[in-house]
Formats: sequence, C-alpha cells, structure tokens
Amino acid sequence: MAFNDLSFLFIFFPAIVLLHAIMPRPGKNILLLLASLVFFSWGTPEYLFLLALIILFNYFSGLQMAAQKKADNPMGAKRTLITSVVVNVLLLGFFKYWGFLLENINAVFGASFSSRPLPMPIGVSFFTFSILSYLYDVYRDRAPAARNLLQFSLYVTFFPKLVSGPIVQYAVMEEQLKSRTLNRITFGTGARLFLIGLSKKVLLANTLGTTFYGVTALPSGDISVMTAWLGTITYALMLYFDFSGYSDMAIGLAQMFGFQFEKNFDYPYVSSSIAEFWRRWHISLGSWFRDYVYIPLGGSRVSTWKIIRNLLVVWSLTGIWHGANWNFIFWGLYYGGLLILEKFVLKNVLEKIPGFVRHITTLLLVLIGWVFFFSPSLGSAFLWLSRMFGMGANGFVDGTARYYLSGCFLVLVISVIGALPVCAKLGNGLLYGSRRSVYLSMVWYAVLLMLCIAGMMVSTYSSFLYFQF
Amino acid sequence: MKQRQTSHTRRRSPFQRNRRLQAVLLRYLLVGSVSFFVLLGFLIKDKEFSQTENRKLAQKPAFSLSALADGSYLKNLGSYVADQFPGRDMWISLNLRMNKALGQKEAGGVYLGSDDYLIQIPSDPNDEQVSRNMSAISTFAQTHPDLNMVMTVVPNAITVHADKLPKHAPARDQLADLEHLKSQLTGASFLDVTDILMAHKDEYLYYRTDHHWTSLAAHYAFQAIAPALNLSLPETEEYTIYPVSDTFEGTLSSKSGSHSTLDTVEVYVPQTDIDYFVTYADTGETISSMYDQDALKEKDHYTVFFGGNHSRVDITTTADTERNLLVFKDSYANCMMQFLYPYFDHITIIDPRYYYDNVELIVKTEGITDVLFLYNLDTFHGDTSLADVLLSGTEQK
Repeated sequence: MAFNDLSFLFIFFPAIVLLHAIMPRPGKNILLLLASLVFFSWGTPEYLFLLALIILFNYFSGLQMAAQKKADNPMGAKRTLITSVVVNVLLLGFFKYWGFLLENINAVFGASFSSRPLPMPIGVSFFTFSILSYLYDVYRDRAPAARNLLQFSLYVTFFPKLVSGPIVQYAVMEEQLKSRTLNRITFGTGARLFLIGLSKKVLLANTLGTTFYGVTALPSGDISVMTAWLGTITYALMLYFDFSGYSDMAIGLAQMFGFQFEKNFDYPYVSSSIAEFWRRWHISLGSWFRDYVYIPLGGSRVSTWKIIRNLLVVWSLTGIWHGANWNFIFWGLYYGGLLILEKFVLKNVLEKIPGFVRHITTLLLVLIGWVFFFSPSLGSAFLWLSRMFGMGANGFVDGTARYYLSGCFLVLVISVIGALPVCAKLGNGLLYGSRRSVYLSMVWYAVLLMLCIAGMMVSTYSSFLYFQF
Repeated sequence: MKQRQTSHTRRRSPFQRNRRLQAVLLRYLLVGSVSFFVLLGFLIKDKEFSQTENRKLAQKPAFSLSALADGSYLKNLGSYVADQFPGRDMWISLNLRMNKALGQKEAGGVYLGSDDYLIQIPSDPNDEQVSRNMSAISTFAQTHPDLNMVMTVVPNAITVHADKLPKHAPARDQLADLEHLKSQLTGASFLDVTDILMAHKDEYLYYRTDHHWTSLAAHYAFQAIAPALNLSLPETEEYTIYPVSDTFEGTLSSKSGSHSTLDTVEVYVPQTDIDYFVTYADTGETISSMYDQDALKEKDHYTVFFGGNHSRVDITTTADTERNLLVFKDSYANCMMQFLYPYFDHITIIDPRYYYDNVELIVKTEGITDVLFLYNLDTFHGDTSLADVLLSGTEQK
C-alpha cells in the first residue's frame, strides 16, 4: 500500500487518526506499532514473522553491546557490532542481490544456477539502514541502547518512513519515541505537507510519467534529438516530484503523529556543483552514507588516496543500494568520479567559472546521470545519450517530438517553476500575507485534494517508483 | 526556558499567526473531507457492475483470519474501496478533463481525435507469433490446394481515419505491416481492403467510441472480397438498413474514460428469398436470425451480431450454390456474415481464441470449398491461437 492509494487515504489513515486521537498517551506507541505492522502486512504478510525475528535479534544485539561496554570490553562490543551488521547486510543482500549475483556468476563461469524470485519484504532497504544506524549509534555512544522493545520496534517499522524513508537515524528519533509534542498545530502542519506531497506525486509526477513512458516506448529509430531531451527532462522532473512528494507525505504523516523529521529534498536542481546536488537530493541517504560509511572509513581527514578510495566505496555502495543492476553501479561510480574531479582536479578552475555556467553544467551532468538511472541496460543508456547529442537521431525535431511536447508543455512549465525555491517563497508570501488569504488558500488546498482523488482513482496501475529499491 | 517561550508566543508576527491559523484550518479540511467520503461510502449502496467501465466491480471482501494472513483480505479491501468510491465515474471524468486541459491528447491507450473520434493506439506486434501464424496459414493452404483460400486483414481506424488523429500523433505504419504480412503468405491470396476503405474515408467506417468497424465499412470490404471468392453477385445488391441502436458506447469510451458521444449501429439485411438458421456449438441453440436483439439491452451493442464471439457458429442456408465456406476470424468478421450468407449453402465460423477441436474434420464433414481468414490488424498482431488450431489438425493426420 502506498500513501497515494485510495485504500490508504480512506481506510488506513482515518482509522489510525481516529484511534490515535482517542488513545491515551501511554498507549499511542503501541497503536502506532500495530498500525505499522498492519501497513507492512498490506504488502507482504508472509514476512511478518521474519520482521519480528530481525527486530528481536537487533534489540538483543544492542543490549549485548551496551552490557559489553559497561563491562569495559570494547573488543566484545566490536565483535557484537560486526556480527550483527553482517547478519543484517546478508539478509538485505539475499533479498535484493541474490538473483543478480547468480546472473553474473552464470555469465562469467557459464554456469546455470537459477533462483526462484522471492518478493522483497516491503521497505527492506530502508528498515535495514535504520537498523544499521541504530547499531552504530549504540556502538559509538551516540545514543543509549534501547531498553524498551516497543520503542525500538516502532523505530524500525514506523509506517510513514517504512516503505521509502526518509532514513531517520536512531540518535535523532530516540528522544521522540519517548515523548513528543502533539497538538492541532503540529497535525495541521503535517496535513499541509502531506497534501503538498500528494499533489506533487499524483498531479505532477504521474502526469509527467505519461509523457516519459510514451517517449521511451518509441522505437529507437523514431527518436529525434528533441524527443530524447524531452524524455530525459520529464524523467528528471518526474523522479523529483515522485520521490520528494513521497518524502513530503512521509514527513507530514509523521508530524501528524508528533514526530519531527528533517526534510529529505531541498530544491536539488538549483545546485551549482555535484557535491551541492547530493546535499540537496535524498538528504537522509546522503547523510547516512556520510555518517556510517565515509566517516568511519576516515572521511576526509586521511591522505588524498584514501579519500579517493573512501569516495569510491561510498559511491559504488550508493549505486548498488538503488538496485541490483550494473546501471546503478555505473551511475554511482559516475557520481563518485565527478565528485573526485570536483574535489581535487577542478577545484581552482571551478571557483573562477561564473555561477550560471556552473549551474548549467551541474544540471547537464545530473541529467546525463538520470539516463543511466532510467535505462534498462548500459547499452540502451549510451544509445539514448547518443540520440540526445544527435547521433543516429531522427533529425533535430520531428512530429513525434511536437506531439509529446504539446501534450506536456503546461505540466513542464508548472513543474519547472515548482522545482525552484522561488515558487515556495512566492506561495508563502501570498498564502500567509493576511487572514483573508489564509481562508482563501483553503479553496486552493480543497481543489488540490479533489484533483488528487481524481488522479488516484485512475492511477490504480501507477505505483511509486522507488518501491523497487 | 518556559518563560521565554511564552513571551515569544505573545510576540508572534502576523506571518506566524497566519501560519498557525492555516494549520488549524487544514486539519479540519483534511480530516473533514476524508470523513465525508468515508461516511458517504457507508451510506451509498454498493454497485454490482460499472456500465462505463464495462466490468464487474469489486464487492466487500468477507473477513476471515486466513484471508487476513495471506494478505488477500487487505488487498481486496483496497480494490473494494476504489471500485465503490462515491462518484467513481465522476472522478475519472474529472481527471480526464484536467488532463485534456493540460494538453494531453491520449488517455488509457486511446487517442482523443477530432470529431469526437476515439482511436485505439495499436500495440506492437508479437513478431514471433505473427510469423508462426502466417506460416501455419501457408501450410494449411498447401495441404488443401483444392480449396479457394483468401486472407483479409483489415487496417484499423488509426490508418483509415488518420486525418482524425491529434496533430503529429505517432502511429504505426499499418500499410507496411500489411505488406509484411502479404510477403509471408504463400498458397492463399492476400486481399488488402485498405484502398477501398480509404476511398470512403470521410464516411462512417469505424465507431467513434469502439474499436470495431461499422457495417458500412464491412459492406465496402465485401465488395472487394466477393470477386476474390468468385461470388457471382446480382446486378444490384439491395439491402434494407435498420439502425438498431443510436446509444452505443463502446470499449474505447471505457478505456479512455471519455463519454462525449454515442454511436449508431446499423444492420444490413439482404433483400433475398434465401433463408438461413444459425447454430451455436457452445450452447447447442439454433436460431433463425444472426442478430441478437437482447444484446441491445446490454452495454456492448456490437454484440448484436451473433451475440458476440463463439468458438464455432454454423450458418445453414437455402442458397443451393453447392459451396461451403470456412471462416477463421476475430470479432471484425461478425458484421461481415450478413453480406456473405446468401452465397453459400453452409458457413462454418471458427474463432480460434475459443476453439480447441480438429479443423481437418470440419473440412471433410462440411465439404468445405472456400476458406476465409478475416481479422483486423491489431488483433491479428496479438493473436496467439490461430497457429495452434490450424496445426492441430495437420499433426493428427
């Protein structure tokens, strides 16, 4: 179940909001945990038992580490950390990469291992990363080990962040599991973020999707330069509104139940460098890799060669985290390479380049990156790129390009404006200017909600893109 | 700390006050609208069937622990809520209207053409299966050199009504597709009816809301098919044309969600003394008309011809021409039979999608003299059953 399913908005959500409102405070965590388990079961009920085992295993690992630390046994604590991290990573690897691994072994050794494809437990990439964050935070004394099994289970499974993040670090969420502010203001602020996220996903991302899927389904001989660019640009915007919309919904929902999460996206397409892009895109994943991989490896406080090694490790992991496919690994290393260039080779050059050139170059590099992200194989990615730059293309612009452009032009304009910070700034000025404009803004939000319901009604076959990761 | 917070609260800027006001109002808006639709959903009676989407709607799932455990209960609950949502059709047309306002020219695999024409976007062919079907037809023709065999694959509205397409809309080159089919066929003659249809392209050849062709189009095609089948037509063919429905809303309306027009269905009754009766193999019924009046009370008025598709239908006539026709077909052929029956003693109509018996046996027992393959291109490109039906007989021989 996704937040943009009718069954979420009209069964799950009202039921939980009602129960949460009448439940006295001490019971609220139990309620949210049960709700999260129901949410998990909506997709893959067969893994409920496995999920319980994973939670118990890590709960006891945390307690054991705490006990070993108290007994002044750092080596023991380290052993516990390593064992439990390995167990979690192997589980994630089994569900996500087993088929991919066999495929490559078969290709290299000419073997013919086969595996029955298993469905992935919902949110396995995300809750495993939450658990790893917990283990490391306890090991490094960033947070005390969880004594309360209920609170720990809720940290792992909390439904707003279960499926697609944001990946909230344990040290950040720990206090809020114990006590949090709940009132009509927090609920309303969350509701606003939820509605905005829903509109981004249903009204913008899904509409851009029709153009993108139409364009990429064309026979490759029928693609003009303009069609290829249109495909890449609609994908870039679609992915942004899809994922940032979903994050907004998650953060908004969490807020309705009293949790404060940091934003996951911060207008990534206005970045003037690749490093800045990754500080603005999927922020929680970037900080996770920084805090739990890059810095433990020595971060930037080591020799240049080691920094380069650390960056390459982080970026190949980032790539493969997005999916078991050589495309994603290439895409990760592409960013690793760009960041190394930016950091060491071009550092002085970049400072002298005017701002707008840096903005455009960054955007261009990001767009090229997305081609690797959306193409089914490396070969087709290079084919698409060559079309974008005129090689083998069906002219610069043809009728097909005109057809698709006229179909999505208005949405493109709205999306581009929506992807810039100026939109929120103007909107805030207009909406909060006076009491009357606040009342008027309710009409706007009501219209958005109605259009979203209409969009949700037809898009039973359009699901959130990031589920596959 | 506490004191600083209160003094801070008192000195809130108007901006912050408005933000708080908005949060309070939005809480009412979201909770209010969601509760409204939930309550409305409880009050409104569930529907069995959706006329607009032409399918059964999901019903309230029965609760059981086992259904909960295997996930089916929650999944079915989800489809139930979507299908029985208050005003479901209204929401879908609201979405279509929004997309149209944004400039979209297609919905659900259908082009929104001019003159209220909805035009199906053809799917890509299943090349491997298409060649298999074509070589099976060729083999079948070669094993029966004594039979007169004709194959007609009808182009779709996207080709014949190309001038109704949205500007620059990409479309398969169906003319090239037909050429390609023709080149794969040996032993039977491939009759292309594109030219005769194109010559009348300003007439009402395809339904505006449905993927089928009209009786008028079938009549034009018949004029090309008749010489190929060596039919001796009378000097003037006379038909009585009955418009049996002017409220037909077809599959393309359902697929696209666009309900802006209705179609007229006409039947052509030849003015002849030749009588016939129709036998349906699946029900065993024998009826003295190929038109099914009851179909006009249902959603799909195109099923007025034979009440839709059947595995095998036999038409026995009093024509006394000593010719027996075997037809392999899809639904496009259903409105062609009204033109063909006066020229044959017996017509056996096989829809390979539903037929599993031996074809060779029919050829023998019915004394077949002519064979017609009649399909539309889009369906033929996706057909997966013709080869199996044709080959099953030869292999058993």
